[in-house]
Amino acid sequence: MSEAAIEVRGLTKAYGKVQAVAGVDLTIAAGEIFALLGPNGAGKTTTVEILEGYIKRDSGSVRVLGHDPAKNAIALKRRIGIVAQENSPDPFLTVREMVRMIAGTYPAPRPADEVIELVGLTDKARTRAGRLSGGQQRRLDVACALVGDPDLLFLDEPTTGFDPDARLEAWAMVRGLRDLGKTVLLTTHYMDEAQQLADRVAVIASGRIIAEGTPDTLGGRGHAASRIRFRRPTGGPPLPDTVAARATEQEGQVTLSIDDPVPLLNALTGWAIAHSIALEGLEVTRPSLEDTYLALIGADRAGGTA
Amino acid sequence: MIAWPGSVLHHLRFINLSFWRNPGAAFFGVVFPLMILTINSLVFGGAKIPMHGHTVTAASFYVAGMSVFAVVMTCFTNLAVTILFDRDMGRLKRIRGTPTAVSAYVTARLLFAMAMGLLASMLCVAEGVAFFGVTIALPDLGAFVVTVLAGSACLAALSLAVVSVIPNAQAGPAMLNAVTFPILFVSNVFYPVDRLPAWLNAIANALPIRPLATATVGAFFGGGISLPSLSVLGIWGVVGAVIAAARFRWQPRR
Repeated sequence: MSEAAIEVRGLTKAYGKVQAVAGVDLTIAAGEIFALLGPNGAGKTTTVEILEGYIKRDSGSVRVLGHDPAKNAIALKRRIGIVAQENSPDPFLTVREMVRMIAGTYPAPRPADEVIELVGLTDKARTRAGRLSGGQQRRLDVACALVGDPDLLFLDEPTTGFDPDARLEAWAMVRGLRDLGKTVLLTTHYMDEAQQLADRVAVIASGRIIAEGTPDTLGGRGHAASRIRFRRPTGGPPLPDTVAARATEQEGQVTLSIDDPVPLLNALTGWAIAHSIALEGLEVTRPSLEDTYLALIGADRAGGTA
Repeated sequence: MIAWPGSVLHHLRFINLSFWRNPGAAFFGVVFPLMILTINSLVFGGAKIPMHGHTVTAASFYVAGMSVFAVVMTCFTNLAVTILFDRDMGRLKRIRGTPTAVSAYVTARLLFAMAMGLLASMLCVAEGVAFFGVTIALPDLGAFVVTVLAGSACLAALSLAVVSVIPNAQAGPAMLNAVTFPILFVSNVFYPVDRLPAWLNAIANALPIRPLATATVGAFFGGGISLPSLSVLGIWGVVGAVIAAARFRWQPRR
């Protein structure tokens, strides 16, 4: 587990005057599910397509499973599986034919029917791919990516356009990949997806990695302040001093922010019980991954456009 | 390790499966030329026209002409349209994400288009012989097959080159037909063309379809293999291959 599946140093790529990737460093351990987050145009797909061997980098060093994708493309492709964006199957081939077509390109593929079962398409094996729903086609994409029995999977926005049910199914499938010991590089702009699936995440903006960590600690999220919110009845008794000192109140909605919420909550609930106040809408929240992400992206936009 | 010929055969198998289930591809490549051959032969087939010093029936001229039309439709237009759709829909990109050697996949596409060109032209011959009293001597058929295969290879190479300048699949059929039909009409395909203005004649002879038609009609009526015409096809084929090798894209422009 110590060997890195992906090792990237100082990666750059420009399209004309647009610097799509401006010095990316990235290390992804074998067996890890790693999510690359970022807004459209941040350099996510360009970075991933360089790792996959689709496009050539301008500079920097890249090792994927020990190969340089720009040099050993075929040797590398025997060990990776790709679920790309906008990747529809041949509509005139059945699910089984499609999987066999891809399987036949690998040296030691898994049996087609086994992979079809893994993605839950067994009852559609004889259906033409053109007649599958969007979610089923995406599962067929995953079957095609798995059939070569790769060590590393690239999933580029695998659930974009899915309904909530299909997304839950897809997540279960990706967790299954972890159990198979695969390394997964996932790109997404759904923060709940990264929170649910990823061991580690990195945020890319303007072609650079601006933060990296576990979903729970990204961007200092692990020790960020908690936020307490509740409604105070109009005309009620004044708040205890410790609470009032930190609170902002707007139309009865009290909000306060504190690193260690426990003593303050104790004071607050003691005050509420003493005055028989219900503390309507009481909530204690940590910043979500989405809050953290938006703050990081916002800071990048504010500072990076000079 | 998968051997290169095995990889070509593997992709040929699935390209073939998909082609015959694709109504557009199968119709325009194979059925459409046969339809025009039938209509032309029913309407004008009995007429006598002079050809290479002797008089032949119009039906036998149409067999040769429609064979060329079929080759243009399968190897140029149809190959380009299917590649454009495969490119737009990410299918080429998916193939390129597998360990398939690029050369093996491209070879499979080319060989399949050439096989369909030959099949469609043979069906034209078979229809003419079976229904319109057309006759062809066996040695002439050999020269005819060689000529059709040379034309198929040339047009397929040009097809792979032309897709690099077509932005997307929507634009494909219109742009391809705008190129092929004017050339077809001055190229001895739909009817014998012998009174073109000199400048138009020179242009038609420099483009690949007219030499292919000249060679195919010549072979059909006992003229053997026309090396001058095939040389023109060879030059165009090399030009196509060089452009394709340099400019071919595996995914849509972003």
